[in-house]
Amino acid sequence: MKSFNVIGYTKFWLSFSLVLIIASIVAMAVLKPNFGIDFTGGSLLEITVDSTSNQALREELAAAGKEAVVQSSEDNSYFVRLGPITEDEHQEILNILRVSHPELTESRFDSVGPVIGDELKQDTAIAVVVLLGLIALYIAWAFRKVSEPVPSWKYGVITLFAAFHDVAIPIGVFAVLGRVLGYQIDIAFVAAMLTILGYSINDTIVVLDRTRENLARYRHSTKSFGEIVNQSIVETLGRSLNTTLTTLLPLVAILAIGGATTRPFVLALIIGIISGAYSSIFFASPLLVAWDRWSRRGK
Amino acid sequence: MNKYAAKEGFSNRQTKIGAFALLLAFLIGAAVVYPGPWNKAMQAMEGATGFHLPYLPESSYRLGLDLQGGAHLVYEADMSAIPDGDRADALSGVRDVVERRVNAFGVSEPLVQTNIAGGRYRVIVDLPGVTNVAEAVREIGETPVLTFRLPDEDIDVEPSAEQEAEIAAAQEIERASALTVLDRALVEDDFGALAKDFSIDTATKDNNGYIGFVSSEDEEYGGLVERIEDDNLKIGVIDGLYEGTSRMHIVNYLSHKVETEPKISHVLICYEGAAGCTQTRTKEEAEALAKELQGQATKQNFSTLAVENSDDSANAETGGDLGYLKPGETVEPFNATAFELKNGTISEVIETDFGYHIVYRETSRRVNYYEIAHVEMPWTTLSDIFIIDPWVNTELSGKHVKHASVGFDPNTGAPYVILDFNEEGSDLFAQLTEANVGKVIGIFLDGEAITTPVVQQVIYGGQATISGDFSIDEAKLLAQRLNAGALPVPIEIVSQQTIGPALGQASLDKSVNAGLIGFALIALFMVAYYRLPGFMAVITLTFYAVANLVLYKIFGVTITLSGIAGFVLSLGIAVDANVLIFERLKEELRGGRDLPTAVDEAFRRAWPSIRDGNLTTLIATAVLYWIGACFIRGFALTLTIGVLMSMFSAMVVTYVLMKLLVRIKAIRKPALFLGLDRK
Repeated sequence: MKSFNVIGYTKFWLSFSLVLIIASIVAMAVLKPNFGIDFTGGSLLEITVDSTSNQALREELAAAGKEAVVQSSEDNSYFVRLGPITEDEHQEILNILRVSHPELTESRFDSVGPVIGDELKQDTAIAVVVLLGLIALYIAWAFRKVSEPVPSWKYGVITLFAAFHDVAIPIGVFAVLGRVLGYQIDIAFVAAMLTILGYSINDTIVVLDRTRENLARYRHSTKSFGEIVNQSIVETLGRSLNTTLTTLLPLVAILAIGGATTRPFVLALIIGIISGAYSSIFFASPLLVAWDRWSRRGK
Repeated sequence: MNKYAAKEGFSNRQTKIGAFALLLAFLIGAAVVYPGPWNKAMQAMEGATGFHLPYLPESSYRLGLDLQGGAHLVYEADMSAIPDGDRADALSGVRDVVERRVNAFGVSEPLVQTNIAGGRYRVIVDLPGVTNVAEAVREIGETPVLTFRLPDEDIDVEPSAEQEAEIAAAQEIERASALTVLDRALVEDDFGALAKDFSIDTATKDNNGYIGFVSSEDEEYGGLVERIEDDNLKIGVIDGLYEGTSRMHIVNYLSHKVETEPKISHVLICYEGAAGCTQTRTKEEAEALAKELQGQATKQNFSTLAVENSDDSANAETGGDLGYLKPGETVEPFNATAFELKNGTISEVIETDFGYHIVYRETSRRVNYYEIAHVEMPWTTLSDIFIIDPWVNTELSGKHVKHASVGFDPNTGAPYVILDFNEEGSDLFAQLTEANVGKVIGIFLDGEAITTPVVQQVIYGGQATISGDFSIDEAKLLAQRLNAGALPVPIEIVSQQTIGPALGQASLDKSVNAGLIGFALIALFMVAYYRLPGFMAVITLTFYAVANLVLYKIFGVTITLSGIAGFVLSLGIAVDANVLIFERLKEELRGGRDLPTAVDEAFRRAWPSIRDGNLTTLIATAVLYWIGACFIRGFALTLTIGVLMSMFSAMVVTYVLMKLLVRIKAIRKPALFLGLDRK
């Protein structure tokens, strides 16, 4: 296979990734992602009724003085989101809805007190910091060998940038999905992001590691820096694509038929894994080359 | 077996032994996962030979609440009244009581756990398969909190400097805003509009802030009346703020009147059927008796007559004294009679719904009444930030109650509740009474003192009585609730998750199907892309899946929806390892090695990447598990098991299979190994 040339279009790929990241950040800032009740406290009611609409359910509740956000799911089921409510209020709300929908069945009720939400927020923040710390340590360890002509710490920094890329994009996508489909940033989403951090970082390391090996091996050849990096991408491409594909296949199966409950979680994983695979080929290596060129120009 | 072979890889003999061991492990694993056929075979074997291998337990997987339906309830115990050292004990007392309650629901495997973290004391209740969650939540919530308390001998009512500063700061702000409203009230005409906009008294704000007439005896406005009288204030908005007990008032003084209030005593003679009457005499008898007494009554003997004859139990003992009456305070014609009588005279017999009355007007007084309206505004005082609790908990509490029953006082017939303590409770009660003879012990139910008896003597034998103001039904209900368990401290539900059984089953079906399809997709891809080795990888993956299920069963891993997602994701990651090995194998073959050495080399070289790749995922799952929310735990656990198992299965199972394969000369064709060769 000839001329799979990533490095030749370094500027294009870097700009593309940069646009994606900026778009994600803007989406996050502008659309204000919906946080789930596990963080904010509140309650979630899932009900099945014969036929109605979001609007009708919301109005029935509003008429009784209850403010709720109603969202339709699949098969006549609806999610009703409310503030933190007591068991009595919970029964009251069911009774209000049963007036017009005597056939109503309740399939799920979650209620999270604000204290629990705050705790989870705190625990999650600690977890993110701890994981980032551990990953930084791991990266330092993975690139511990001395290497020429690119110093080890540069690989580390690039890997961290790639990790940022991997989670920034799903967060941006979810900010948009939050608007369109009511998807929330809940604990499941955070779990997906942390998993992506752990899973995808490795792909980046494999590609950069191969680059480092090749740079040492071809030190005396006439190949340019860019050519060697490109060759390293090509050599690891089969592995990258296939591992990504085999991981995605079962996830897509869950996304398609696994039911509504896990759908946002699995979608977050899928987007993150794709973003991770993409970044190790089209972001990390071009960034390495761009950095190399920039530092040469400086000299 | 020579040294070289040992270093480079398995010898033929090792490969055979390995393959046999793996096959055996696989069969045993499969039998554990699906014990039905195995147990049938063993039964047949026992029938035929009288000898059999051990049967396997036909237990099912432990399914999470999200898959089988049920409720997950988190309660937080309020430990504010318990000293630090005793809190863990109190929490386990709560757990025991809640467990007793929960066991009565008849759900299959309820789980009641305690959790202490960050100074918060929680009890977590899992009720799998419970159908009426609302009922369960209500019953647990209704568990009475029974505590035995002693008066606090050193109550510290002095606010700290910080609290004083806090009050002063709050008051400064409140005073400023009250003054703004006052300024407007003084210049604007519409006091009602100000009340509507600013008053926090919901009862009067929409009614021009109107309160009515108040006198110097009024608890909240007595001070205001004094000020009106002392300063001789004119009618209109009072130029100044009035501080109530915990409210700031801006007062509009509307009018003044003087009322004459008679001081009244009475004798009531009631009859069967009159309101509130417990006598059995007829109406005629009552009227006759009342007239007879009226004939005897004088100023001097009125009090005695009332003590001896009056049926108004609220005041008979005090000589029928009703004190000074306000106009309209009593029913007609009693009211009219009281105000028409001259001081020092006794009325004729009059009739009301309560029976026949003889009324005596002893004297009267003149009282000033002031009609006022107000705008009520917040005013922070000590009591807002400082809760004074004059009681301290003792160690004795509801968890020590063994049995409760209803008894009746032989003299009054009043019902009371008898508590039998368990052994520990008896000892504590004996110690408590011994140390407090002559003092008061408070018995508190749900935070309210229901009885505060004085300890007469030391009580051994572990029995206490609660003689509150009960009706028979209330006493019975209380005994019933105490028998179901009484808590040592109050609890409150802080989080609840409920999944209907239908949704659980649907989720289970959907995710199992998704897992099977995911597996099939991977198998198709692997065989199509990597040919024979791909097929080996599929066998490995089957082994892997069975091994995971065996581990779930052996370790009783709770399988949740997210756990299945973790398992399915780990299927993909498990194939990863094989992909890494096969990509290496291709490289080795392209590099010109022969097949058997290329296989050894590929495994050896792929190992570091496999190890490192999985390490980062394991770091992530460990952190996830630490966060500990239910949803994440299931996922983190199955993914961790999966990742560890995948390394083993790729490095051992795939390896043995590949070694077996390359011994067959007929298939040593690169095309079968390289798949689509792109060179």
